Amino acid sequence: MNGIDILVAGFGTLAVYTYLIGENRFYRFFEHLFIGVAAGYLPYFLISNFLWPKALAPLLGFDILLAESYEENQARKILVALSLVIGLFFYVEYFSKRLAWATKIALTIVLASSAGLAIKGAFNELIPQLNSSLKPIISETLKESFSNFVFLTSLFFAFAYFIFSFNTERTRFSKFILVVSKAFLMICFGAFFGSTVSARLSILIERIDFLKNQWLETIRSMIF
Amino acid sequence: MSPKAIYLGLFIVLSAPFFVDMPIEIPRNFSAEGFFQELEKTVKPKSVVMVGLDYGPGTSAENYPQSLVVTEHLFRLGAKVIFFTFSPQAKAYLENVPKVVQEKLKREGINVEYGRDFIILGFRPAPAMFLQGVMKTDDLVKFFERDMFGTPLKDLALSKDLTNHSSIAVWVQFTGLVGMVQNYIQFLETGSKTVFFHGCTSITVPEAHIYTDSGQIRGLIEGLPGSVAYEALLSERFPVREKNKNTVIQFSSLSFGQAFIFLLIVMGNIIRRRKIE
Repeated sequence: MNGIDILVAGFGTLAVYTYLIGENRFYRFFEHLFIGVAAGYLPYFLISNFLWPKALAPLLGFDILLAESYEENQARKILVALSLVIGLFFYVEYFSKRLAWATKIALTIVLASSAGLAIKGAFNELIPQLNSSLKPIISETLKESFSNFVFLTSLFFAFAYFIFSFNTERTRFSKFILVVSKAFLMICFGAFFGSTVSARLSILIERIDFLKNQWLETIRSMIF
Repeated sequence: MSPKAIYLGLFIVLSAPFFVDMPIEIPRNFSAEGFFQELEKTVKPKSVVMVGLDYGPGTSAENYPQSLVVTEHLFRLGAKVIFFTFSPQAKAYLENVPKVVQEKLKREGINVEYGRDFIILGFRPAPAMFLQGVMKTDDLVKFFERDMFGTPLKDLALSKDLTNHSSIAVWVQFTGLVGMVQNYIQFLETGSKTVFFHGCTSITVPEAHIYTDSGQIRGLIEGLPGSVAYEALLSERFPVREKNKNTVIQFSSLSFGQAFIFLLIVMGNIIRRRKIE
């Protein structure tokens, strides 16, 4: 970052934190600026880093596709053009009610491919976890056995809490399961909360580091 | 107590280590140690490593230091690194991370060159499609096509001999985005077909631990404490390296902040109990 970037970033950081004192114009200005920049950056980035170099430039003859033969190059151009046309189908319903069916074609292709990938992905992700969940209670070392016991107990109680097919308030045993399950879940949520606080502190620390080591240094170098 | 007083108190506690010298000892971090040792075992000189920097300014406070220390470690091990991202906001980090490490190593006389030791592939959309494509193709050079600057990969020394996914020894990814790591786990079939290391933020630690337990993640760096511990491990392994003193200050700041929050929770409970009584 150059000097002006650092100065603006520093003022922006302070402006956002002034919200803690109360709503003010300084904060409002930088809030709008931040949202505007974020909204503008994404389309610009996608056009300049993907749509133009990967699709439009080769199609319009400003660049070449790295194909091994003329035939392959032509085939890839057709595929790129077809993808662009299908992509444009998403916007047809905004221009013509009569041709709105074209949007459904694009949606169907996206949903079908996503569903296919999701099914494959779910198996790849969950099967190893199912395997690793089946741990032996009696293991090689006492420490490992204890660890496996704690794991299996928490797994059982966490599952038990989400079984809604019988009335858990009915017997003393089911009430016991409910209480213990809640305790395990609370430990889990406590860990989530603690790690969330830690992450937020890390972000603030990074900003303090930036303000002290870059922003203040830049101001100092400008004055002296 | 008014919220403004709490904010001010927290700000003072977190800022203090930056202005007053009060370093605290870095404790052992078993996750970072595991990551470090596994990487040492898996990465040999000239191993090709894919590094995904899938983060933006929102989580860079934790992911950026992680990516710096791991990249430095990879370069020191002689790995050939290919950087890429699925996050549009990560473009600046894609250029910055290798550059910062390159300059640091240059001061020690270690020369890291673009094209020979590392490549920046740039932004790639559709993570699931891309990763599935990597696993299916027999010609990664053709699949990746060009680097971020438009140079064909067949013209770069590092990449010209890449064939299929087995050419890649290790995958490393840094992210704080919920759901992003699942793309890697699902489509790289980590644990069985590929070796995968992950750097996560403190928020996503509980989510990531599920996968370390099942072996789908080989090594895990957790948030800012993870990168600080990794930094210490690097200094132990390579004693001549230039230490980053700032990480100790940041760690001290985080520890004081956590202690302050803990104090507030205790105080809050005592005050509430007294009010009830």
